Amino acid sequence: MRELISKWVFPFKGDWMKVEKISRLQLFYLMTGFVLGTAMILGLGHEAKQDSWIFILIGMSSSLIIMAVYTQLASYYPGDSLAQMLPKLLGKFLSYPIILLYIFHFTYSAARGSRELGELIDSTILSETPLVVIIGSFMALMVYCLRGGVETFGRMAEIVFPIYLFSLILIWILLFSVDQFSLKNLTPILGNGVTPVLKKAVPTAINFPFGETIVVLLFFPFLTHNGPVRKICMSFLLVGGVLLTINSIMLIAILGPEIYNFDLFSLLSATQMVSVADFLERFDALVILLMVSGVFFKVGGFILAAAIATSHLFKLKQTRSVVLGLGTIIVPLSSITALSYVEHLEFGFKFYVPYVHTVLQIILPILFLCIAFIRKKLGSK
Amino acid sequence: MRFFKRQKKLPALLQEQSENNPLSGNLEEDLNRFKQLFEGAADFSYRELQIGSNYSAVVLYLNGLVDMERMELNVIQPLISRNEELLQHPKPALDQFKGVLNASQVVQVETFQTIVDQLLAGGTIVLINTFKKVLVISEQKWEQRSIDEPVSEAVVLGPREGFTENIRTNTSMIRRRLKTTKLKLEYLKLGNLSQTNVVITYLEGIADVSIVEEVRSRLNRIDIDAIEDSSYIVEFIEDEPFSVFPQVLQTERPDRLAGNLLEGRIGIIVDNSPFALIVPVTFFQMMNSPEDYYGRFIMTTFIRLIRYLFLLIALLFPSIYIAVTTFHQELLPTNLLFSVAASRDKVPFPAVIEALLMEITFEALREAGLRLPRPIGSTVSIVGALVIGQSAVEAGIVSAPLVIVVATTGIASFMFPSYPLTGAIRLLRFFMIFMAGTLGFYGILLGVFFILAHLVQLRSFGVPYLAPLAPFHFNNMKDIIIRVPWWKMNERPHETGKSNLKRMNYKPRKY
Repeated sequence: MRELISKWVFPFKGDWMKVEKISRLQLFYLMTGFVLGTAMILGLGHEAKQDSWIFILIGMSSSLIIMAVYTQLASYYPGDSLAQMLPKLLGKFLSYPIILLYIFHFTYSAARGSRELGELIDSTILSETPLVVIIGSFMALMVYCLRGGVETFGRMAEIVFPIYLFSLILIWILLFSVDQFSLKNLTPILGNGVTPVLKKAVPTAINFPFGETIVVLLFFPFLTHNGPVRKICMSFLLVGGVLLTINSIMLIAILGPEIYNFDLFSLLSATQMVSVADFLERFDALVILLMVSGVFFKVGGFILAAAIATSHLFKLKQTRSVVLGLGTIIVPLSSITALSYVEHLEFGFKFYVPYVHTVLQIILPILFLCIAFIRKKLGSK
Repeated sequence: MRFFKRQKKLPALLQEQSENNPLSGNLEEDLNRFKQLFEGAADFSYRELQIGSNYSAVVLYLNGLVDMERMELNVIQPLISRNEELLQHPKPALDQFKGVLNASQVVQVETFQTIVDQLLAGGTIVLINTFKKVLVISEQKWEQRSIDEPVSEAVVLGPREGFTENIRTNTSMIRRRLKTTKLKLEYLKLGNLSQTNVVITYLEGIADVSIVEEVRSRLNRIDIDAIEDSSYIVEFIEDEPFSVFPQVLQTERPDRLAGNLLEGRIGIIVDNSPFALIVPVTFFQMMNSPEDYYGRFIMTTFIRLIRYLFLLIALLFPSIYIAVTTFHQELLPTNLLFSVAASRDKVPFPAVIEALLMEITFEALREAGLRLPRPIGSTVSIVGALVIGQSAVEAGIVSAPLVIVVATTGIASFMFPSYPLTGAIRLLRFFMIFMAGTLGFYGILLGVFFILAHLVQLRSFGVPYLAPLAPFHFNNMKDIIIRVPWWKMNERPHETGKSNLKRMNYKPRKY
């Protein structure tokens, strides 16, 4: 038994196993999947109605600036993760609670992602299965996968993301065949002017899902070649944002702004309208594939980030035991934080994303960057 | 935690006691020593000779391991025929006796243990009185299977010879294919009692030095009493012994081994086993048949695509059937749904139970077909076809669509070129059936993700199991799902042939 446990925690002994590494391509796949993740299922910018695609574009372009802040911060401390650079930046005592705050943010976000998946599966295909079974089995998969650390996750992304993209594009092609498809649904574009959309988009659209890519700060130390990362980070934001924009245009064109606004799982509703030659119907399976793999990236990214932050904070040699612990916490956390799905969404969109996200993903990083900048200036003198 | 660790005291290992007392030089005494050692071994034989008047000798050998005719001709006759030079010499050295012998391989051995080892390996020992050393002649010959067509990896095109149980024959087949001094064949012995010869073979300058070193050290770490087949070694050297996926390629084909050596892999040939091992190996290699390289490349690409399609069918078809009939009836087109529902109408079991019943029966049929004596084999297929295929459906125990599903799955699982991989897929099929039965389509997705997560974590001698797909390497993809023509394979696979990538000059088809 003891041997089994130690094998689980340290599957590869000795220096035969090379240090965990992740390539740039893997990081790109992983993070694009991370951006799309739950956003693809939930749909973004419901409150902006037919202008939600502009809402997403605004969110994406502003998040590029935030990403510049992240990468600049990383370039001051090359080879360090967020949890390693903060003590150097703020000192030991101030940095500990902040890192803990981030760890909690990541853990809770992972729990949110799992809850969304669970609700979706529960309300669409497995209506009689308890939520905890769905989330629990998903978490078992996550823990097993993340046992191999960044490397396994990166390789999974390399295999799963192309399939993900392929099925997404396939769904779009199929959506064209729907009779109700009409671009007129998108009009009037910016009927009330830019300001209302802008007001709604900042900071919500930046924070979810683009601002969440702050987790990338914890993956940088594992990149195969150290070097400038800005290009790759910008590109996954751009690709993810463009895909989300196209998706929301497609969905609005089919469902119309009103239904798009109220539907909880708009992509699924749109796909259910597809019928090719009266024979090929119900491509729900593809949507479920999209959902599971999207949430896989999202939740996996968060858990991994939390695990890396924890292991760096407490100077552990591995993340495997942390992942196991986090997995055990997340399953109950995802169910107890909200009584119903509506409450869950309400809390998310009314409180968590606008306030907590803004503090952790916009204000604090900018503050860190300022401090780092000043420190560097002082240090060079 | 020392607290829990309790070690049982086990009796000492049964081992050849090594005796290091040198020979006495007294013929009678030494012969007795051998007789004592081989007491009860009926194949131990010896013959006493008189050489001239001064010297007497004893020839020792194990019956059945020695070529008797040649021994008589080359060893016994020269010794007893009165060699003038030898007889005239007042005090001939052992070398002079050696000079008399006609055998090609004669060595002088001093240590007792080595003599015994040589004798056990089929050597002929000549003891001559007054000498403390002996002459060992290698004239082995035993009955063996002739070179045959490989049964487990049959091809239509391509060479038809397969490895035999004799390691010398096997190495010669490799040597005939790679006539270069770069081909290394390192001998070592494994197994306390079996003393099995094992050869590590690789191409110097192409194979990764660190992997060769790792193979060597893993083999040397093996501590076992006997090795009856190369499969014993597989379990000792695999990276992840608890995985269902094979991480070592077992092949019967010398051409396949040679081809793999050229890609920088390392072969392990084991005496008494017609299966050579190839490491490191990737998943996609397991999916490739040796015939892929002999057939036309366009056709091969097509066949490979079919193979991967049927890999999915073999793994997922029953579970998709279960998921659709139990959880997601709406996914089927209406007409199809009606016909499936109509045939499932009489069936008393849920789809999972039905599928499990059929799958287990199929596995039983398959196993029975393998184990039964040939003449009865056809009975099994008749029983299988009639009872399972027809009567069960007519009796309403199982539904007809399920029979189709199971049959297709069965055929699909015979398509993989690697037998151990087939086993892995068959096992995982049951896992997938379980997942589909409990969580429907969602369960299938989770199951596939589980398998993928397992596969990306696997390594074979440090090489990622899913290379070159994950980690992705574009150049290596030319021999994975498609096969490019030979004149385009100008590079060795990146993961193993890194030290010497270039395979040919880049001048394809210059007429």
